[in-house]
Amino acid sequence: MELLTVVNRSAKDLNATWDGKPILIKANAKVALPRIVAEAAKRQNVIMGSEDPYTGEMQYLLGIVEFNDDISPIEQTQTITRMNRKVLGTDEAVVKALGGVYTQRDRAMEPGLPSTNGPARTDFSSR
Amino acid sequence: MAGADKQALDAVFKDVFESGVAEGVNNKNPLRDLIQTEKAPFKGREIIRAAHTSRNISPMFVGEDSAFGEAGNQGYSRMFVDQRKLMSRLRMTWEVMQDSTSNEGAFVSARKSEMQYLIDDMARRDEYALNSDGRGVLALVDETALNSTTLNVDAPAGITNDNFGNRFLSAGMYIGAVDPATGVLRTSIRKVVSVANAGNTIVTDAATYTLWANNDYIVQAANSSVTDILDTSYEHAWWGVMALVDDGTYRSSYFGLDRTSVPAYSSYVTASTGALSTDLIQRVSDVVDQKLNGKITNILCHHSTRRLVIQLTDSDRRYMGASLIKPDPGTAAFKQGDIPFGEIPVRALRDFPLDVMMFLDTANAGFKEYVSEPGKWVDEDGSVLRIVGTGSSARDAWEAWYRMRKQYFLEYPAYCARLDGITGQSLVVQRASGS
Repeated sequence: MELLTVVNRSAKDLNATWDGKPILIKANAKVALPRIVAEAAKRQNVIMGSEDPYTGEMQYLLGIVEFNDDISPIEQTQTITRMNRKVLGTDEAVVKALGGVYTQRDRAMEPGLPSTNGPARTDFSSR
Repeated sequence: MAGADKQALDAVFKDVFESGVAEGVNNKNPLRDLIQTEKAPFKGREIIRAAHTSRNISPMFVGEDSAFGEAGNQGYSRMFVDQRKLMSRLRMTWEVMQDSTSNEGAFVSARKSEMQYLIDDMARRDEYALNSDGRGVLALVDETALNSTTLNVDAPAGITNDNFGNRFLSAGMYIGAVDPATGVLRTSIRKVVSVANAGNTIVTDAATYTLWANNDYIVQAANSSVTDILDTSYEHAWWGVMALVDDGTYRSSYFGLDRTSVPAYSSYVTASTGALSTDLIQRVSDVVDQKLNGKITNILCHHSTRRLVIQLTDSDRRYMGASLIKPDPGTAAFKQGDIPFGEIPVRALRDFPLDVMMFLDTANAGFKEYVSEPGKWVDEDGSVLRIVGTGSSARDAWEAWYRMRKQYFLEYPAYCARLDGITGQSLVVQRASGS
C-alpha cells in the first residue's frame, strides 16, 4: 500500500471521509495516508471559489507532498461556490428576453449577493 | 349557590370515547415508494455478479508491414452480493390479548395493534437503511470529553454533516460505539433516555462511556449486556442509496469490487459543492451522459435543499394576466408536489441526507433487490406466537418475531451521480412523528 504525505495547509482541523470512515487532519499537521484516501481527502477539501470555470482546475486546503502540491499555508475563503465566478466577469453571457426577464446571473454574481456585473456585455471578441 | 350543577352530579356523567385510535405515527416511506426495484430471489452462499470491466487495448493504427500491438484481452470482475437481515419482536401477556379482544373492552385489539404496527415499524427501518450506506450507523460521537449523560452526536446515519445528528436515534434504543478504524465494539452499552426533536444531543442512562472516542460510530445494540459486535446493527443493514450511488466516500468496495479501478461502478460525486446553481446541476447531467450515456430521471434531496432549487428561479418569476390580480408566490412544492428541473422531478425526502442532491437514472441504472425473505412472521415451528421462557423462567406471555432478509444492488452506479456538501439552505428538520 502506497502511503502519501498529506499536509493540512490551514490553521483549522479538516475532515474527510473515505469508505465511511471519518478522518480528522489536525491544523497544520502532516500525516501519512494511503494514496486513495489522500486523494479523496484532498478532493473533499476544496478552497471555495478556487475552481477555474474554464479549466476545472482548483486549489485545495490539503497538499500532497509527493505530487509536488502547494503546501504553503492558506485558509478557507468566504466564497459560497466552488467555482470562481469572478473570472467570468462581464464575459458571462446574459440573456435578456423581450419581456424584460433577466437570468439570475444578470442580477448577482453569486446567489444571494448583490450584483457586481454591470450591464451585459455583447462584444466577446477579446476572449 | 345550592342546586345541581355538573360538579355536584359528577358521579352520573360518563366519559364519551370516540371510536378508533388516531394515527400519530408518520408511516410514509417516500424513498422506498419511489425506487422501483427488480426483485430477484437469493439462494446459496452469495450471488456472484460478473461484470465486463475493461477493453482489449491492442487496436492500434499501423503502417504497411509494421509491427502492431501485442494481444490484449477483455477484463472481467466479480461482485459478491450478500444478504442483510432485519429482525423485530413483540411480547404480550395473555391478559392483554384476552382483555382487548372486544370493542367494549378496548379501543383496539392489542394483538392486532402490536402485530400490524410492527410491520409499519419494520418499513420505517427499511426507509432509514435505504437513505444510508448500510453500515447500520445511527450517528457519530461528536465530543472528546464524554463525561455527561448528554451526548453530542453528528453525521446522522454516518453521513457527513454537522446538523441534526440525532435524527435516527430514538428513546429506548440501546447503543454502542464502534471504532471506525478497526470495527471493534467499545465496552459500554448505553440506553437512550430521551432525544431532542431536532438537534445534536441525546440523553443516555449513565455518563460512563469506557473507551468511547470522538468520531466513533454509534450503532444499535440488542440489549444492555452486548459485548460482541455481532449483536449490534454494525454492518448488518442493507445498502442504501448513499452506498449504491457513490465514488468510495462511503463504500470504496462495491460488493467486493474496487470502485476506483472500475469507473462503471463509481458514480460521479462532487464533494464540497457549496451554493447550488443551475449550471452546476446541468454539469451533473452532462457528466453522466458522457460517462455511460445516462439520462437523469429523478433528483432526490431533503426538503431544505429543495427550497434552494425553488430559489434558483424565484427572482425570474413574473405574473401576467389573471395572475396579476391573484399572484401566487408558491410552487407545486407547497403541496409537496415535485418541482421540475429540466422536466425531471425534484423529490424531497424526509430521511435523506441534509446537504446532498442525488441524481438517478432509474430507467438504466438497474435497481435490484436480492431477496431471501421479503417479510414474514417467524413460524417455522408451526406457530407465530410462542410462549415466553421455560421452567422457572416461564411466563404466561407470548412473543412473535418478524424477519426480512435482502440486499439492494445497483447494476450501473455510473448512471447516477451525487452532489455532496451543498450549502446555503436554512435547515428546517423535523423528526418523523412517532420516531
